[in-house]
Amino acid sequence: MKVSEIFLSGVPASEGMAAGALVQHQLRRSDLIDRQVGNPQQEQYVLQQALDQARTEISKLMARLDQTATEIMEFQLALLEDEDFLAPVSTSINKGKSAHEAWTEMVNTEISDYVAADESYMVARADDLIDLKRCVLAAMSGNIDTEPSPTHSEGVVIAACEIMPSEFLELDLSSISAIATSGGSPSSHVAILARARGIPMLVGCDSELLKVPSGSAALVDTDLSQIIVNPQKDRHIAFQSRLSQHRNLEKRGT
Amino acid sequence: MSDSTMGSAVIEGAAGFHARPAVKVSKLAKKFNANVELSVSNGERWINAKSTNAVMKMKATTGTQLLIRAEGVDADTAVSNMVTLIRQNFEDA
Repeated sequence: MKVSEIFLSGVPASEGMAAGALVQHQLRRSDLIDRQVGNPQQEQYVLQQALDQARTEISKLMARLDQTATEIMEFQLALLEDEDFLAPVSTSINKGKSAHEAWTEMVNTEISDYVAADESYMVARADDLIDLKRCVLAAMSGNIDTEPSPTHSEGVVIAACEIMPSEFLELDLSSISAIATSGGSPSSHVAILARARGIPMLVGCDSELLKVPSGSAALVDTDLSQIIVNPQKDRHIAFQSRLSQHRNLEKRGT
Repeated sequence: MSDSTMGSAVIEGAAGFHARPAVKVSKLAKKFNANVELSVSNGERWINAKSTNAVMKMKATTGTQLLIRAEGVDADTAVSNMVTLIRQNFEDA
């Protein structure tokens, strides 16, 4: 049975060309939470513990990474140390809301504000807030994620709806040849990280991306703003030829 | 604010108030005992400079004039340091 070629367009967020097996990325943390709720005093304690755990996790991530990653995560850390930012959560808990509801509502309100600001760099902050939201929720649910990110044998193309900064930083980048997301923006922190690491990335891809079976061959070409899935032989050969030219140009420093 | 110190600076570089500058501004403000506030609306609305979130949401873009005011023991130092940071395009001293 002949597998058909699929052309998916996207917006370049990090320049480059790469080939690899496409792998659908599993979200490591989510907005969902399932936990026992206590009285306000108990919920305050849960909140403070979760915030402390989040601070520790982010600080650890910053400590073992390079300058760019550190600078990016420090926004999240600064929010965790922002009393005005955190105050409404405690107030909400005192009024009877559970720790996770109070936290989620506050962060969602902030996310709406950032998205409504209608400037790309403001909208990009929404990603950082979503990342932070999930990090604290995970801490509240008592999930200590000790499982390392899956490693792949060689050069995979990660496909996802979205990738959060902390998720990106947890990926084993040596085995990743490119990233494609159906959501996301070129001015997001993840895009900055991908550029700093020299990993080609396309955002805002056709949603078909998420239906591609893991293991399908993929060619990522940000010059053409596209991904070709199941490339025909000729296509593959032409791609490799362009890829070599690309590399030669890079070496010559043009 | 009574007995407050004021200062102003124009945001120069292309960055405007992106995440990094916002973090730097609030971190600096937190070093001082004084209350430190910022305004991009010519003094109509003031935000707490020690709150990274509030600073980030100011939408202070390139060319914006930022007003700074502080009240407290180290208010003068607070204002002059903040002005310096902004004029240096948020590069640390």
